[in-house]
Amino acid sequence: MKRKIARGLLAAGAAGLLAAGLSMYAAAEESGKVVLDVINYHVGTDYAAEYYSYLFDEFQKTEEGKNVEFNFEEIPTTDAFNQKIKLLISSGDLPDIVFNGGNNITELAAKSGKVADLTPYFDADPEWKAQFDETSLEFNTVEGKIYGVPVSKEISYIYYNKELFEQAGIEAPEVAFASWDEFFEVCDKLKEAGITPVGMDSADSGWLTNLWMSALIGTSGDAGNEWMNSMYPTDFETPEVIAAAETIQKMFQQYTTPDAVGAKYDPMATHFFNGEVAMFPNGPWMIPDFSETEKAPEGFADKVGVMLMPCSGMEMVPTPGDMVGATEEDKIEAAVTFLKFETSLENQIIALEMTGLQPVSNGLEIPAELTENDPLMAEVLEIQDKAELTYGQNQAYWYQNTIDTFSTELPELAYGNITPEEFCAKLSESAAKNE
Amino acid sequence: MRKTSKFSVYLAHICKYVFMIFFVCIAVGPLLWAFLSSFKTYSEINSSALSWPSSFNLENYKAAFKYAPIAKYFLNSVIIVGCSVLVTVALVAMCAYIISRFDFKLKVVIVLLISASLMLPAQAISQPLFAIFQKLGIFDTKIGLIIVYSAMGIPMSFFVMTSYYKTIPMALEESAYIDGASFLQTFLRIILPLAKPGLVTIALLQFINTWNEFYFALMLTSGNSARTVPIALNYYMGTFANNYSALFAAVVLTVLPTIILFIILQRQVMESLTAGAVKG
Repeated sequence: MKRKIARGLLAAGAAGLLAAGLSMYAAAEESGKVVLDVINYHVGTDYAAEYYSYLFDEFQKTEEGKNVEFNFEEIPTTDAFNQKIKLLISSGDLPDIVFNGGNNITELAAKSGKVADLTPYFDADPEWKAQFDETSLEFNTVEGKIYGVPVSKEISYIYYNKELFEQAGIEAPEVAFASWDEFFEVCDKLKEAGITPVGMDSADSGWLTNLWMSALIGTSGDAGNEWMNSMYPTDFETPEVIAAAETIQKMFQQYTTPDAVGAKYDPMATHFFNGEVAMFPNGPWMIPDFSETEKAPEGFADKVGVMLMPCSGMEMVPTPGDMVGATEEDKIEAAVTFLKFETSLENQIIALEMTGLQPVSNGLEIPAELTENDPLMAEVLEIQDKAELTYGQNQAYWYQNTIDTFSTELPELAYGNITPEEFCAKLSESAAKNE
Repeated sequence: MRKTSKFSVYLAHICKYVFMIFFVCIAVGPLLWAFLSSFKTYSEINSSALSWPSSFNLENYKAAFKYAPIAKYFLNSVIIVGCSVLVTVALVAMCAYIISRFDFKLKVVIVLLISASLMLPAQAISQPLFAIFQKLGIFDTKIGLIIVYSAMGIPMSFFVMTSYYKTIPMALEESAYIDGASFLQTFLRIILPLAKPGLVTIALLQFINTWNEFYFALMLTSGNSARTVPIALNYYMGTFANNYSALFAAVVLTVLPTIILFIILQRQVMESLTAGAVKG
C-alpha cells in the first residue's frame, strides 16, 4: 500500500513538473509570442555575461523583439557548452539560437544539416550583409552557404608596462618593434635591469605562448604568414614553424618567469598586474581587468601601453558566428532578427564598451566618450589599423587535438627534453589523425 | 637495559605521532587550503598558493551566491546523491547476495552483463540516454539523474559486495536455517548486519562518485531543477574571467555540510566498518 502511495506520489510529482514547464511554454505561445530556446554560456563570471543579459532585455523592448520570449538554458564555460552542443547536434535537438563556442562547431553543425542556411537572409538584406567583410563571412561559410553570423573580431597584440620599460631605460616603439631581433635586444635589456621580459604559459591550451608562436610564424615572411592564415594545417614541419618553436624554447628558458612551464593564464596575468613581467600578449577583453582593484593594484591601468607584435604583426581572426537551429519559419525569422539586433552597429559599440569585444564591422564611428573614458581601448582601436601583417592563431585555426598536443608538449620543449623539430613532428602527427 | 627500553617506547610514540600527523596533514591540508583561499583576493590566490589571506571577510562568500544558484544546486545534489546511494545499496545488497551464494541458470550471463556495463564510456551512452529520457518525460528531472547514477554505481558496488559476501561463512546461514529461520529472515537478520562494513563502503564509494559527477548532470538537464553542485562550480570559471576567490568560497560551502555530517555520523560509520570483525 505504502509503496503504491509512494509510486503514485513520485509519478504525480514528475507529471506536475513537466506540466508546469509545458504550461509556461504554452502560455507564451498562446499569447501570440514566438518562444526561442537559447543555450547561453555567457553566464556566471563570463566576461560578457552582463552584456548578453542587457542584449536579451533590450531586444524584447524593440518593435521586432516585443513578440519574442526567450527560454534560456545556462551552461557555464565554453568547454561544457561545446560538449552539450555536440550532443544536441547529433540528437537534432539544437536550440533555436545556437551561440558559437568555437571548437569547429560551425562545420559540424552545418554538415549535420541541423542549422539553417542563412545565405538567403543575408541576400535579402544587403545593408546588413555589407556590415561584414568577406573574410568574416567566408569564415562562417560551409560548402558555399553562410551558417554563422559573426559577432566580433578577435585581435591580440602586446601590452607593456611603461614603468618597467622606463626603469630599464627603454623607449617603447610607437607601433611595434621593427624586427624580432630588436624585440629580443629589448628583452636582454630588461633582463639586465632585473625585470622578467615576457609572460608565457603552457596549461589550458597555452594561450599566451600560442599568441607568441602565432606571431613568430605569421611575421616570418610570406610563407609563414600564409601558413598562419590557413585553416586546419597538417604539416608543422615547415622551416617557419620549426624556427618559431626554437624561439619559443629560448623564450621559456631565458625570458619568462620560472613558473611559466605548466602554468595557467591567471597566475601569469597576475605577474603582469603586479609589475613582475614587462610584456604580455593578449586581446582587448583584458583591458577592464587593469582597472579592477581585485585583480590589479590601483592605478595600474595608467601604466599599461599597447604595441603590435614585432614587424607590425597582429593576430586577427574572424569569430565563429552564432547560428540558427530553429526549424519552423517564424522561429527562424525571429532568431535572425535577434542576430541582426546583436550585430547592429549600435550594439557592436556597446559590446566594445562593456566587454572589449572588437566590432566585426570595419570603420565604425567610435564615440568620443569612449576615447575619454577608456583611452587604452581607444589606443587599441587606433593601433590595429597600423598592422601591416595579420594572421590567425592556433585556437581558431588548428584541430582541437593539435591544440591539446601543443599544450601538453610545451613543457617538454621548454625543458629541452625534445627538440623543436620533434615538437613540430608531434604536432603534425596529431593533426594527421583528423585526415 | 631499562633505559634502552624506555627510549624505544618514546621513539615508537614519536614515530607513531609523526606518522599520524603526516596523514592528518594530507587529509586536512587541501580542505584547510581551500578554506584559507576562500578569504583571499584574486591577486593573493594567483601570487602565492601558500600565503595567508590579508583579511578575513565574507565578500567572496557573497560573490559565490551572486554568480551561481549554489544553494539550489546543493539541495539538488543532496536529494539526487542521497537517493542514488539508497537505491544502489538496496539493489546491490540483494543482487550480490544471490549471485555470491546461489547457482542458477544465466548467472554467468548476468555477471557478464554487469561487468560489460563497467566498460561503457559515458560519452557513448549519453545520446541514447538523452533521447530515451526525453521520450519518457524524465529529462531535466531529479528522478532521471537518480536512475542514471544508481545504474552507474551498481557494477562496481556489485563486485565489492559479491566479494564481501564470500567472506561471510556459510555456516552462519546454515545454522539459521537449522534454527528455523526463513530465507528472508536469514538475509535480513543474519547476513545484512554482518555485511554492514561492505554496505558502508559501497555507500561511500557511490556518494563520492555521484557527488562529483559532471557529465550526465550537464547532458541530462537543462534547468535549475535538477542540476548539481559540480555544474554550479563551473559558473566561477568564465573565459578569461575565473573568479577563484568565489570558487573556493563555493567549494567550502558545498563541502562543509558533508564534512559536518560525517563528523556527526562518524561513530556509526566506524561501527559499521568494524561490525563483524573478530578479534583473533
